[in-house]
Amino acid sequence: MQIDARGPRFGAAITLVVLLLVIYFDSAFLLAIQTLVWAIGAIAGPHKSPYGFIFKTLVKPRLKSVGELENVKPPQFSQLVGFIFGVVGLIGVAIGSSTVFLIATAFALAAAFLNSVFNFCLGCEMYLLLVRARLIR
Amino acid sequence: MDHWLLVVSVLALSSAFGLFLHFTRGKLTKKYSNEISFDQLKVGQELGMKATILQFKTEYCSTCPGVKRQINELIKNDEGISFYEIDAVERIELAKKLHVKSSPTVLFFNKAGLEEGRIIGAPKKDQLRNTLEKITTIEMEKTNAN
Repeated sequence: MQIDARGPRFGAAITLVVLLLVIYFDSAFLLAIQTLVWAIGAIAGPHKSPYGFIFKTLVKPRLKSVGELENVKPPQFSQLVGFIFGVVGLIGVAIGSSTVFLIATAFALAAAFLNSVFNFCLGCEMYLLLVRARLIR
Repeated sequence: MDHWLLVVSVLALSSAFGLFLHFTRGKLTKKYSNEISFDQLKVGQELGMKATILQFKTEYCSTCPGVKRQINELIKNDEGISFYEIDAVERIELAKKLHVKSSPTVLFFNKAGLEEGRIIGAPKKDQLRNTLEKITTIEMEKTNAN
């Protein structure tokens, strides 16, 4: 399936803001909401997540140019990577470790920043390295 | 205060990494080795008369289809240049042998089947065109010299 390549990048920009708020307010609740968004994106695809819905209904109709299409699988995989960071952060909260919570959120923040500002999909790049290291197939 | 220090540090490091990628990826880099020829790779395809392009992709590479489209467009009128695409995960041993660590990685082989260079990351169309011109020009000069 092909989706508008600008959608996931827009989603990464919102994610970046949300994660900045997570760190500023030290908010496990906000991280839980963001993790839920990642989960929806990982299962149904980023175009079906709330940020994808915002892009489709509010942003895309206002864009004049036609966006390039891309396969849904790469951004879907990066949503899964984000979800894993989110779960690790929430486990940190559950066990009372603010260090785990902050480090996991910081990694996700870096990935969202690279995606939104430099259009670099960290999750997609990690895929081949993980296969090479025999950590996934 | 500590939290802002963390945010500033993460954003500064990410910016540095992003700028590094911006200025290094998508450009022609030196060949890794001339010890392995195209024939020895056993990709099951024939060498081009002038040059051969080999793109490594993965299922999760968002820029690979665009690069493939660009290459096909550039070489459509030149039958001397062959282009093949390989899934790096399906041919992981080959990817390791050629030191391919990310996708897309585009390798350029001369007509003798030796690697002339590679582009890691999505190249710009001009970069692709210049690289192809460079490789085919080198080959023509070698032929004329002989």
